[in-house]
Amino acid sequence: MNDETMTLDEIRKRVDERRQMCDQIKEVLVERLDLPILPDWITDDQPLFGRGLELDSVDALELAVGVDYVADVSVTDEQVGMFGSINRIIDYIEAHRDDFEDAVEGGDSVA
Amino acid sequence: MEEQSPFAAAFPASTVYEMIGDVTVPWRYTSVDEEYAALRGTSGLIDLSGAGLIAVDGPGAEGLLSRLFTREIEFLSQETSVMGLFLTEDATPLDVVTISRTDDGFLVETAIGRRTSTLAHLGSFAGPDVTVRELGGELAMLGFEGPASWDVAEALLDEPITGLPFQGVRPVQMDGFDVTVSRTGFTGEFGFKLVGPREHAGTMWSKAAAHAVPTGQEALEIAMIETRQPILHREAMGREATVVRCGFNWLVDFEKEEFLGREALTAQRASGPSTLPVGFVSDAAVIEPGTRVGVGSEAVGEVVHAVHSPGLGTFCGIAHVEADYAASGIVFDVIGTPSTVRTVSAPARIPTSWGELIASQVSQGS
Repeated sequence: MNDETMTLDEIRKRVDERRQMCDQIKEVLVERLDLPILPDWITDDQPLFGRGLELDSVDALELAVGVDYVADVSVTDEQVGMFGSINRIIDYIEAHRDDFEDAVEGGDSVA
Repeated sequence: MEEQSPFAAAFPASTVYEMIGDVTVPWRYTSVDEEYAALRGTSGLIDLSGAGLIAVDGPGAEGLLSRLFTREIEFLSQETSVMGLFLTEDATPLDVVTISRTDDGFLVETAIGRRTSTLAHLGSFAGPDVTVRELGGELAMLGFEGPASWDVAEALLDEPITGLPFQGVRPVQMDGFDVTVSRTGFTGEFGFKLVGPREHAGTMWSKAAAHAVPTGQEALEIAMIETRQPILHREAMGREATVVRCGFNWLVDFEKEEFLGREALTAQRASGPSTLPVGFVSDAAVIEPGTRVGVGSEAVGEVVHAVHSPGLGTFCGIAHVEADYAASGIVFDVIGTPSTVRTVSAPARIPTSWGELIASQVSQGS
């Protein structure tokens, strides 16, 4: 086993945590943008703009506000990559707010 | 006998070809690094004649496509297009297609190498009030993608297409003949497709090649994997492919109440996926499809497809991993080797065009 590799139990835990975060952002996305789609049908890696979820510039602003609200992370125009997918948003949040997990575990409102 | 690309006369002697599905496509013209650099840095010119162009006409055309297509087309105008799937009854992805409306019905653009099977699929469901006709003998299609592609479009076309929205479709003139331009692509970069008369294919290619770098399927697929655009012949052929296992959810409108395969897909959705697709990067020199990944000697997934990305300077690919272990940011051992793969979020490489596009969107709103 490589030094960087976690055990299977550690990976499962990590995946569970990550999935909770992804699910919360998907709910934010669907609620704030009033998307006609169930959050669980959105995949973690699908494109959000263009032909993915077909979001536009107004949605980008709303999404940025939603991420700020739920994760206390502000978005500037330098972070273009964070809009690439749900996973990219989570990467951004994890890099900018260490206590996001606490917010998720504490059951904070997402709407 | 297989039909040759209408642009083939312009290809250099160094061109390497590869068979994909029912067609042979230009895989590489000169250098994959240079061709990839064009897609991400300027504009790459792509021969799209390997994709089928199928006219579905007649009073029953909309009903037929509504029954088979996974997206809504009821309100599709002639100014736009929509991308989605044709599924089999058991919800296996049959093709990734782009549909636009025409004067007489609809134009269906298939994925590369899927012309024959999709033509047969449409024909098998078409009633007497629908005609299904392949247009490859009449039309030629090319694409150009990359951050400079708006400039290429301006240079090629006789009239400006300023403001053409993503997925927009517009009839225009090029060098005095009629073409249809659509703003769609495969790489996440600014992208356009031109469909024109096959008799003018030589002019279309030579004019475009003066402004964009001829780019083969090899470089195109690298850019597509980086941005996780669906590559049907790599991801969903010859294995137990389902919409969810391939991550093609976004090509299906579940709000649409009826389409072929919906019932099976609903059942698959309810039971949950056994595996999920994850993107990965790796320094391992060769990551062959079927290579097992996991922890120590215990496999939890396998590589579906991988390529070397000049942009990332490493290998990147897609693996199907047991759902309990599928997430971004996990390091797996390549079973039986000292190498690892690290799962990454999509897109693995941010398209160059986004720097301009999204930054302006955010700053406009703030």
